This record gives sequence, structure tokens and C-alpha cells, in this order.
Amino acid sequence: MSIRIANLSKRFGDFTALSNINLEIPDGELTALLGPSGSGKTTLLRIIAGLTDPDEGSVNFFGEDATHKATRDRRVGFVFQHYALFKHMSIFENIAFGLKVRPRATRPTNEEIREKVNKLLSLVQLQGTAQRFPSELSGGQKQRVALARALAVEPKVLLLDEPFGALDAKVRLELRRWLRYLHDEIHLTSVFVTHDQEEALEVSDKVVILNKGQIEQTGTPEEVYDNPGNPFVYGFLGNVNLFHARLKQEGGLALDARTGAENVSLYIRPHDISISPLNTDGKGIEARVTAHRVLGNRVRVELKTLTGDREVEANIERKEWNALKDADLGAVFIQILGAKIYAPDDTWSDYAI
Amino acid sequence: MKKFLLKKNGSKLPGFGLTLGFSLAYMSFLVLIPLGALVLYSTRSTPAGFLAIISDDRVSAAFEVSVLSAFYAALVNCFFGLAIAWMLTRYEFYGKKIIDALIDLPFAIPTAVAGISLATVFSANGALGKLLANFNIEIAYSRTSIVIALIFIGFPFIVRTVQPVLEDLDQEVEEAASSLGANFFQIFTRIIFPAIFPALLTGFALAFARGLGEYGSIIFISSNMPYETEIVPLLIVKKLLQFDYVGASVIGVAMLVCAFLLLLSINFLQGYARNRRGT
Repeated sequence: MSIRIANLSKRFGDFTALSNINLEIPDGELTALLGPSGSGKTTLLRIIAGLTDPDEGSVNFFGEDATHKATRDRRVGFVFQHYALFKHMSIFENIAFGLKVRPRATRPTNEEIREKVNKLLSLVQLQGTAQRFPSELSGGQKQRVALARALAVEPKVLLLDEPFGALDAKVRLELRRWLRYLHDEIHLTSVFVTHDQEEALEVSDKVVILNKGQIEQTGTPEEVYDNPGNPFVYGFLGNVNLFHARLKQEGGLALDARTGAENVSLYIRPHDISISPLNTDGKGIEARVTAHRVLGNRVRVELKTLTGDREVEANIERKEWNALKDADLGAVFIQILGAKIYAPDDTWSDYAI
Repeated sequence: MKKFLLKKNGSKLPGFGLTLGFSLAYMSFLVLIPLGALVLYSTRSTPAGFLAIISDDRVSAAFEVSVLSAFYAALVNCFFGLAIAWMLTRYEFYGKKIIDALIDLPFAIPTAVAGISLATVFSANGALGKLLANFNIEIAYSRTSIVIALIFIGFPFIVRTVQPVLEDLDQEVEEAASSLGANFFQIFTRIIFPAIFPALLTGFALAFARGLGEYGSIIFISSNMPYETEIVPLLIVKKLLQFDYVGASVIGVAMLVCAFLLLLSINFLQGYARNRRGT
């Protein structure tokens, strides 16, 4: 384990940013801190970097207590959402900064610095920009410069605070994939903060989901997506239809019930719903289509159940939607392909179809 | 004319003609016409006479005193003003608002009052004068006293120009530098100082220009000895009292040119500093 965080707490006035966090960051992996705004993820990252002091608890770097170590002695690379480049310096000077501020004894020669900067520039695919200034680069390029600058000092840990947050959608997608490739090449222990679940699932080896200053769940992207530990995680990792239902004695489910000891919550992802004009297996729920929107190869359909008038969101394939076109949209059948049942005793079970 | 200017400017914002007209009228009435009159009046002397007045030993000595004193005062204020601006922007402490308000006092109080107070405090019997006398330092009525008066007059300029720039500095940039291993001294000299340098230059120019023209406080704290501690504005007043209006206007024009050239060169320096930032 490269970073071990124990019993960490941080308050800002009356606001509890983090409470009793215990976390281990595995060596050489890319870990995502995922959570909504105000969940404490950035505070946690800043505490790891030493930019913020924790109120309680400890941060351990590679077996060494680093709780009270200054940022500049931690050997962490930090990448900010808004790049934080040195505006008055050229790209070359920006990347070389960390090497040039070293004490004379450990400072590389100018020739070595030039070589290293050029190597980093080609690593981040920005050859030829060395003499330009940050204001002349696009957002994606600036963030790659920031990354090269952080890597120049050969940090033991790379920390990224919403690194793609300020970029437009297409660049964000490209850059996060590129970051993943880069990580596969250099295998540097990295932690990045994001509020975008797709980003976390796509890029990271391990996801830490935070909410209200506490860790909700930790695991690989597959683990947390397939086995969410609680309703928050389930809801945060994707869109969800929530129903309150009653487990029937005979094993079925009554959607409309809201009373009784058997009350459970039923969580269904929109893409786990299929719509058909016929109730072939008799398990379908009758509904009518109220709206739909074509999103490329998928179609988002809004429906209302005929009994109970509950709103249901489905996300089906274009083919499936095309097949529905001739049917009567006022009376279709919803089939639930998969769902999670959350019982009042805090246990999850899969809904048997 | 208006159409032509608008076209050249290419601006779609309304009110260009109005604001340009207003600015020109304002500048004319308050700056150009009075100064033009001064220049015109000075031409009553022949070019040779002009040169003779300027190159007079007493006049050039006064110029030396004025320019050097204003320069030293502005220089000292760069450190002082920067320190105060730094304190006001970086730290929270009790009474901060009061100190912030005190900064502007030199703007408000009559300069004569400032001069008399400083003279009293720094005279041989004054509170600070006595203290310094123990070290055989005499400040009142010397050239140093002129610098002290100008420091007092000029330091709000530096504080007020540097303060907003310091406030606007992105904290993340300093954090990035510290994550790259820079210590505070390196962060200050390589990151913060380049960012505030243009503002510091502006403050310096303002304090310097203000110091060149200062009259009220200096005549009370300086001994006003010709060749020693006589400043140019005082010399102009003396010439006026002797009804030597042409001589006064010639010195006035020389001062005008001197101040203009200095401010212009500082502006160029600033432009250079800004360009280097690539913004």
C-alpha cells in the first residue's frame, strides 16, 4: 500500500467535510474518489497532498507518517481543475519549474533539464509548444502541460483534482482515455477526484465513493456497479427508477403497496426495462408512453403505469423502439429485466425474474 | 469624424462618440489648456535664456534634490507598501479594517499638517528625534527628512495598486508551486513577484510623480537651503514671489517634461512586463 489514511476527520466551522475516513490507496493503481459536490472528495485529496491539514487522523506515505509533512517534501504531483499554470512563464519554463527550484546539490544541469522537458512534452504530445505561453493553448493542452509539469519532479504519487472538469465534453472524453493509456505506460500511483460516475468507471482501477464526508463503498468499477452497497451508491452510479413495493406471500411483487411490514424498495436501471406491445409471459406491467427522445442509437422513453400512475423511465435500443412504432403507445407492457430490492433491514437482494 | 472614428475602432458598443467627446473636453479644460498656457508663457524667454535658467546651478541642484528624493521615497515605499498590502490581503487579524482605513489618511490630511507633525517628531527635541540623536543621526531639516515626508505622502499609492492584484492571485498557482518543491522564497520571487510587478511599477510611478510635485509637507520639514535641501516646487514659488514669472514658467515646463518622460518610460517598462506574461 502506498498511501494509508487512518481515522481522518476534517471540519470547516460547522461543516463536517470528512469524518473518520479509513482508506488504503494501492500501489501503482489509478484510484478515483467519486462523489457529489460537498462529499469531501477534494478535501481528502488536498489532505493527501498536504495542502489542507486534517483535524484528526493520520496520513501514511509508503510506510512513513506524513501527516505533518509540508507539501513540497511529500513528492506528490498535483494537477488542478483550472490548470494553475504559471502564466508569465513559457511552457518550457512551466515544466522545468520543479527541477529548477531544487537545491543546487540535486538540481540537474540545464542540458539535463532541457532533455527531460522535451521528453515530457512528447509524452503529453505537445512537441513544438515549448516556447509558447499558457494563454496560447487550449484547455486540453493546458491540462496536459500541467500533467507534464507534475510528472517532471518524478512524484511518488500523482493527485488530480477534477482534471477534466473544465474541459468540453469531447476533449474530456479524449483526455480521460489518454490518461488511462498514459497510466498503463508509467504505472504511477494516482488518485483523481471526479463527480462524474462515467469518468470514474471508465478510467480507474479502483473507485472510492464518498458521500457527506464518509466512504460509502470501495471497489473495482465492476464491483461497485454490479454490487452497490447501498441505495446511495446505486443511485449515484446511474439513473434509476425507484419503486416502493410489497413482497407478496406467493413470491411476486405488488408495486402499488406503500404500507405493511413487507415494504421494500425496488431499484431498476432504465436500461433494465424493456417495452413490448404484448404481455407474452404475463409478468408485464401495463403502461402508456408519455414521451420519448432519440439519443443516437438508444431511445429514452417515459412511461406511466396504468394502475397507480407511476412514472417510469426506460432506455431502450433503437431497434426495440422501431418495433414499437406500429403498436398502440397507449397500452404497452413493461418488462423488468433486472432490479435490486432493498429491504428495510438494509440488505440487498436481486429481484428474481 | 465620428463615423470615421467608430469605423476605425470597430466597436459595436454604444456611446463611443459621447465618451470620446467628453474625455477630450475634460482633458482639455483641466489638463491640456492650463499646461498649454504654461508652455506658451515660457516661450516668452528666448531659447538661450531658457537654457540659461535651466542650467543654473541652483536650479539643477533643486532638480537633483527633487528627483532623487522622490525616487528614494518611491523605492522605499515599494517595500513598505508591498509589506502592508501583503499583510492586509494574506492575514486575518483584529483591527484589520481600521488599519485598512488608516492607509488612505495621507491622501486626506493637509500636507502642511503632515509636514509640521513629521518635523516636530523628528526634530532634536521630538520623540523620534531624541531617540535617533543617541545614535548621532539628525533627520529633521536634512535631505533625509524630505524623503521621509515623501514616504508618508506616497505609500498609499503602492498599497492601493498592489492590494487588489495580490487579492486576485490564484492560490492554486502557489499550491502548484509548492507541490513542485518550491519553498516560500522561491514562490515569492518566481511566482508572486512577477505577477504583481506591473502593479508595483504603477504604484511606484504614481508615488514618484506625486513626490516630484509635493510642496506643502516638505517646506515644513526641510531646511529649504538653496543647493542643499531646496526642492523645485519651492524654487518656482520663490521665483513667483520675486515676480520672475518667466523664470517660474520655464522651470515649470522643465519639470513637466521631466515628469512626463519618467512616467512614459515607466509605462513602456510596464508594457514590456505585461507582454512577457503573454497575456
